Amino acid sequence: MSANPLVQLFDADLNSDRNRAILRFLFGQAGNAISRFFPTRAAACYSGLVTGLALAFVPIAKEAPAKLTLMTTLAGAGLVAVSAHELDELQNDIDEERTQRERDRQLRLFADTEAKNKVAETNLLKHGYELDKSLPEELRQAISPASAETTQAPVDDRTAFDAAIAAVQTKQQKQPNKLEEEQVGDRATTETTATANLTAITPEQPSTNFTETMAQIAKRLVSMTVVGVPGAGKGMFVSNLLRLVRQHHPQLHIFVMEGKGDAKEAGYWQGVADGIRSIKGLEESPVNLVGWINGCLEAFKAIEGPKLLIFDEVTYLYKVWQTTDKEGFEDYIQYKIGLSSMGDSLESYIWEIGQVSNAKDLGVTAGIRSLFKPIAIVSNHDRRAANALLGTKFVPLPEDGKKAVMQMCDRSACGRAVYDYVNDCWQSMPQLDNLSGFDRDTRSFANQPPAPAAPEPDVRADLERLLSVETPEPSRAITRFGLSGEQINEVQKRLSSLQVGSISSVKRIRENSRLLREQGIAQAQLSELFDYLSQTGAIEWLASDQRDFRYLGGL
Amino acid sequence: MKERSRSAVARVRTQSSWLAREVEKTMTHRIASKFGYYSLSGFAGSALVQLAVIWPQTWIAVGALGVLALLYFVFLLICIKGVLKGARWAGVLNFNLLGVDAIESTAIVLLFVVGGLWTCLRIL
Repeated sequence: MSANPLVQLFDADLNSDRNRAILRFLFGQAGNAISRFFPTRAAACYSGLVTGLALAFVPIAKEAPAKLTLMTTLAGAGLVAVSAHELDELQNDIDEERTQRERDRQLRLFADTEAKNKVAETNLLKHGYELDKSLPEELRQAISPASAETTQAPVDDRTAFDAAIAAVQTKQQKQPNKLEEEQVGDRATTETTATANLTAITPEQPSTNFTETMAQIAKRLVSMTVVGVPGAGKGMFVSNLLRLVRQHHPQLHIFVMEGKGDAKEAGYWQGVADGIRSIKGLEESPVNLVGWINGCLEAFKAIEGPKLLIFDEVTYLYKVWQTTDKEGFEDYIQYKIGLSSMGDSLESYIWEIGQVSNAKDLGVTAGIRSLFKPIAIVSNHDRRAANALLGTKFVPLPEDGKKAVMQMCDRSACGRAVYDYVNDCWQSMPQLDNLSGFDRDTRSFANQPPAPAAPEPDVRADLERLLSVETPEPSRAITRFGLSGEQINEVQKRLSSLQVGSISSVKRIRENSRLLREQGIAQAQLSELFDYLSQTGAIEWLASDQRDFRYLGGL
Repeated sequence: MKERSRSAVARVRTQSSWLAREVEKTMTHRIASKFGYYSLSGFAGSALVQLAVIWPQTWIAVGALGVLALLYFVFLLICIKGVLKGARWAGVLNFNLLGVDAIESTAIVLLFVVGGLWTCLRIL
């Protein structure tokens, strides 16, 4: 704000009490009239400008005497000069205010990020698979006794458990092919490939393998960023992971936003995603592209219940978005920050897939980037690009540096290595199923079109379900209202995820539930249960046809 | 259908907000302010002619300034011709006048001349 009292006087609203008082003091009753006539500072400036021009030129046009004309011209010039100066000052103030607002917003964002980082750290500790070494010693001491006792036993249990599963699987797949042959032949199930890879990994490798990590990621969902150069296998990794996710989370709504629009890669998402939005990013105008992104995000936000957004080709889309609609992009970043800390409890996740890991290119600070778990994939087909990715701070390098990662690539059956955030280490990537039907390494189509995943007996999931105390086997027997216990549970879960007082409909509850849809439950079948709920005071019918209701809580 | 209309609404919203931002970026009070400042040059030209009517000795100053303005336009013409021909000397010449760039300084001189000429035609 300028120190000039005139500027302060004309600032913003001339009709404010303060400015009215000043004007009344200066001009008496005329002051009130002035403030009414020029309600804002800009109006006063523009009026001055027009009056000045009129004063200068009207007498000349009317061919008034030279002396009078000269006087009015000088007066008009003075008025125009003052008005122009005031307009300049006004614009300066507006610019300054805008800069200040932007600075405040950045500060708020930074403060939010700091807070969210803390929450994320705590969450990480709670989950127990990663201990942040930057934590204060006391805090680590405080959590270590409990975790030291509990972690050792489960590891042993886990080893025994894995051995048992391997034994069952070997028994099940009594085929003439040995595991070593499968290592070369590949295209077997993910589980068997993983077992094959166990033998391929040398003893100095970490004892885990990446297929196990994938199973862990699928079981315990988080928001993450998958980075790799084109053709590194991001799509293959994510599509395989999604199949595992689907096994563990059958009710999860998987929503895919795909900015490449390549028909060859459609197989990645078919059969696993509940919603696929695709656009040929390079052929669309930036405005259309951003409109498409906003539309997709609105649709994703409108989904109720557990949901996962797969955001493919973020490097290009984020760049266009930032350039075209900066504010909209900032809003999305805030939404992402919110999801990184609260998404776990809301069961909402985002997986970003892109080519670069540079925070600036992703349109965020390094702090915000770190809120999402990193997965980086490099291949020995493009060592230069791999070295460039390894040179960033996105993921840590092993002690032996880039060379060790490239050696892992060379050892891998598919020539790739991947950073595993769960175990905080690099691992050779196992051969995964190419679900797109197009091999980008050989630039050739697979012999057969990609078939949907065969309903193989999932021994691991079944055993885990049997052994786990957290997820008891849902009862499928029909109990009340013509629905099974599992279905009633599902409705109850959907309802309890609503805010108390929010309005929904029976149709929406059914449509948003994958389980109810897959088990062919019709809206009419739910009506009895909903009538019962309205009698118990959990919901209130809003319409006479008993479709829309208000959730009152109390389930 | 619902999803398509939702994305259409989002697209329209994005387009309009983009347009509003573009207008906001270019149409600022700064334009009006500059116009006000430059019109002072026209006032000066006009006032000088009016002064000359009251006090004839000032015609010498008016004539001198007129010659200067003519020289400026000739200089400008030579510069533009040089630049168009790609002459090296043209790049060295400086267009700046009163701390503003070539187009703005030309506008200032032009307004000065027009203000003076118009007043001449009306008064004399």
